[in-house]
Amino acid sequence: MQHIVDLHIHSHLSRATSKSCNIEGLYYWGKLKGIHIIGTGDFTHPTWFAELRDKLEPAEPGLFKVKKSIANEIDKTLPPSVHDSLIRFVPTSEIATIYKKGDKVRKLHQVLVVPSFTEVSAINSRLERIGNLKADGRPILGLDSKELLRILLECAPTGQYIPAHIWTPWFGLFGSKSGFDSIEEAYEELSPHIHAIETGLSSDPAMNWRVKGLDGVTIISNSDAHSPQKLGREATVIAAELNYDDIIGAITTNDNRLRGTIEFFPEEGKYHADGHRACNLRCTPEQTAAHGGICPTCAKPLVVGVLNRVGALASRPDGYVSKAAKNVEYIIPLAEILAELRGVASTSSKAVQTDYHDILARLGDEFSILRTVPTEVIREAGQPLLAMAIKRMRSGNVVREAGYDGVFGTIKVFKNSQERSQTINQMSLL
Amino acid sequence: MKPNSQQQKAICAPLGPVAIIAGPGTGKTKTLVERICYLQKNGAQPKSILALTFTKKAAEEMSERLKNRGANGLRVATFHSLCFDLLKEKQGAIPQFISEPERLVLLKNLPKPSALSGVSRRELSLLVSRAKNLAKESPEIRRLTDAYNAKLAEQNLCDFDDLLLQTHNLLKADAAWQNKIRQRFAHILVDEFQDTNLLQYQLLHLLNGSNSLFVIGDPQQSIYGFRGASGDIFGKFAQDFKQATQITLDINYRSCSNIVTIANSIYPQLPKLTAHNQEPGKAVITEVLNEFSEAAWVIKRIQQAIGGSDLLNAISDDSTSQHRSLRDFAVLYRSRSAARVLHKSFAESGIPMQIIGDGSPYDEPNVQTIVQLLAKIADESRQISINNMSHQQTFTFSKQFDPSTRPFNLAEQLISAFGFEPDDNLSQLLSVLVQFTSVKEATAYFDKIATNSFYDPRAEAVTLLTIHAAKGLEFPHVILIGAENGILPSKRGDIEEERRLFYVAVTRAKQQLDILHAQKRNGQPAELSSFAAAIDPYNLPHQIDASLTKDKLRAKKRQIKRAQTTLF
Ligand SMILES: [Zn+2]
Ligand SMILES: [Zn+2]
Repeated sequence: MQHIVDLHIHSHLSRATSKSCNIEGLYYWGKLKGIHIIGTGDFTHPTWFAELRDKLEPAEPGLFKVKKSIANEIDKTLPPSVHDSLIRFVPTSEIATIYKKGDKVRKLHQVLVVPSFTEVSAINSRLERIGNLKADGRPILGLDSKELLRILLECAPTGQYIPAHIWTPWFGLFGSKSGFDSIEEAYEELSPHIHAIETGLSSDPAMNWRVKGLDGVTIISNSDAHSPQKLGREATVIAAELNYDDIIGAITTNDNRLRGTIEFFPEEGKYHADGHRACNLRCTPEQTAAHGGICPTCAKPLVVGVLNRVGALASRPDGYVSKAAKNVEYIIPLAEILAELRGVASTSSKAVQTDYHDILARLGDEFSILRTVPTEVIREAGQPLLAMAIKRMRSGNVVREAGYDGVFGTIKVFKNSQERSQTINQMSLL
Repeated sequence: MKPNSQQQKAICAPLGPVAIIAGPGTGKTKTLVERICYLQKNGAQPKSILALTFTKKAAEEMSERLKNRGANGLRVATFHSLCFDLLKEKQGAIPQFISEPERLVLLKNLPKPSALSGVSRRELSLLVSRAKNLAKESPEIRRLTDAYNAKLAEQNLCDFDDLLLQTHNLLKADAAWQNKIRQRFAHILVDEFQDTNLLQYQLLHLLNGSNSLFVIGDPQQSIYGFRGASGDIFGKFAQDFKQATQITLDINYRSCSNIVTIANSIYPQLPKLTAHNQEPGKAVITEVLNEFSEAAWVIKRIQQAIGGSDLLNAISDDSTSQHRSLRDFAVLYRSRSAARVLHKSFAESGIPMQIIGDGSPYDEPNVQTIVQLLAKIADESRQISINNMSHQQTFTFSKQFDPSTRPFNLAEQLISAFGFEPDDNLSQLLSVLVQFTSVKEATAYFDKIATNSFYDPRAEAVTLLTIHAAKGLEFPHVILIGAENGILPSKRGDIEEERRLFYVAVTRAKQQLDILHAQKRNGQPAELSSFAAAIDPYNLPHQIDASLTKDKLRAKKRQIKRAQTTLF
């Protein structure tokens, strides 16, 4: 059975997260989105861990489900079209490390995955002696990431340690600001225990294939959601038995069970291109080189984005396809498509939200609509414009404006409002 | 590095009494270590050398340095560990030690004259300890000390001061034994000599048989008067050993030149330190609004220097200080009460930090109660002490619980039996208990963290500590908070000891020194410390924390709120 897996999310106990990032919110949105395996996030936070113990119960080995009494109440508020979707949780937590190595300050984020609350507890008792676990669901530890990996291996032999959003300039394993140039530089003799890396929103598998040092690891994608509506922005597709070992086995071996990833168009990520937010300047790596890396407006160094950094570490040309390549599907969140079709700026506008829930009630969960429901079916459901947009999205025929220095990029189905209104007019003639 | 000519003179000083005045950063420990190597090279048996320090940590560090220099087999001890071993050798056994909580309870229960009625238990404990170390105390304290000693003897317990006191008395009473010990230690060296109290000084006299006595320290760093250290111990030494060799070390290898200049200007009448490092550092006095903006300023300063610790405040262009790491920073304060807001703000910020002198979260009273009762349930013979509960009561209470219950569930039962409000510390305790299947296992874990340091030595963190705890340490960037009259100098302290504290604080900094003072503290107007005000602003410029004036503060709050609502 194919499962859509999203291991990296945050609870309401992390900084800058939505209050509805609780178990109920994750369950509700998980079903709307069509995600099957959701990381709990934040298991190091004592209050969130208490909530997990309170609201979850063991399901298949290494997986948890929402207690029946809670699930039944939420199911009542969901459209029948998504009722039967399965939701399982697996304990995960993102941890930030800050430490000095080789005369440089390193700042890395990593996701830990374990199969049981016993192991969560063992890890928490080790980490509480290193840093403050109570201030933030994503704690900051003054600890060498290699030592963090060692602690995970000691506490949870089948646990996984996944370097998160590895290309972001400040907090990625390969980040230009405070990262490393290779897995080995960071993890030394423990490097063989790194089985997978997370692409982050600003990179896609194709960009990662260009880096030879990543040949031995599995490329996975997660949402890093800070609100339940953002669950599954990116995700990994795994065809495995419904238990921890088989799902994690797909990730560690990168065998046939690992089917592929669901991706943002990488330009949409907020660190794809180079530039300066404050100076309103976006540049391609070539333009950055022409500027000598210095912002022509403020004369400070430009923030080097992911594309540039990949180029610096890559030994293979753009377009290279890895032998281990998996299926890659690009999506635009449904609410973003609907907002564009309506010609409104915000996905949270009332009209968009009404459209969103109506369409889900008719056609099923969001991932099915974006990935598998035939466009004819969407058209026949009274959504010809959406059908056309999804067709364009599935074939990659979209208009991209790259993000930079913390500014999200934009992905549009139409070139401009003129094309949009022309298309709508044509549609109404049909 | 080879010793400089002053250090060389000290290392090769003729046998006999030697007093070395070694200012901050002048290579004191190095000189002491080299002196020991010199003695050994010139025929001293390792076993005949005794090196004394004041803390276990200092003793360990010195042993390590000696080992690296190939000097093995000598005795490096604290006064307490030396006396412990001597007493054990003499008497075969040492009575059990009273624990600090038990000691406080004992002092509380002793009848007290009205003159001592308002004095806190902790303070009483300190005063009694001073009295036992031969400091001059009031007759009330003397009488209280006698009553306290009698109670200890009754229960066949002793405290750490008794180790010194009994050794002192025995050496004095038993000439044959004293002779034996004197012959054993032909060479005695004392580090941080300025911290010596009268009892320790008399012990030194009793141990000293051959006059090969080498003491080293800095009178300007004598800050333990409140514990009974005798402020003028170097003067006493000079009087008692008129033939002593005196050498001063005054080349500072620690701090940038302007920080040394600032240190010198605290004692204009004394000989100056010379900076070896001619690079100018950064030293500034900053005026902040109040204790809250003080804490915010410190946190922002550190976040800037490490380039942001969070996605929300990733800072792109403070490239100059990219090489600073968390352990390069220390925040110093005169007393813990002046740092309450700072501690709280740091805890909320999530920035990795260590408060030196703070116990683990397991010392927090409610957590401690649960942990102790779990231990009692695991092993009913275990002696525990819980506020407002007698031994018998804890025994009867713990009997109501089934020891085969999982420790997590037991703890939940105990928390509800005591009616404790759930808080972060208790949920952290529960979070840790989930992993254990038996209460014995859980108890073994708590015993382990109680005997070892709670903090993992691998942790990198900003250090928060009192000036007292900072003595002997150095940091690239030191931030001193609460530089205000009434705090530093404190209201009650001896002004010269307070000045020495300020001196110690300033001389901890290698490259950067920030001194903070608030316009208002605890709602009361505050004024810049007279010590800081006396320093020429040319060397220590003043600035005002502009970003935290009221209007900007409000704007900032709005900005943070906006940042937090645009979720990613
Ligand atoms: Zn992250
Ligand atoms: Zn710029």
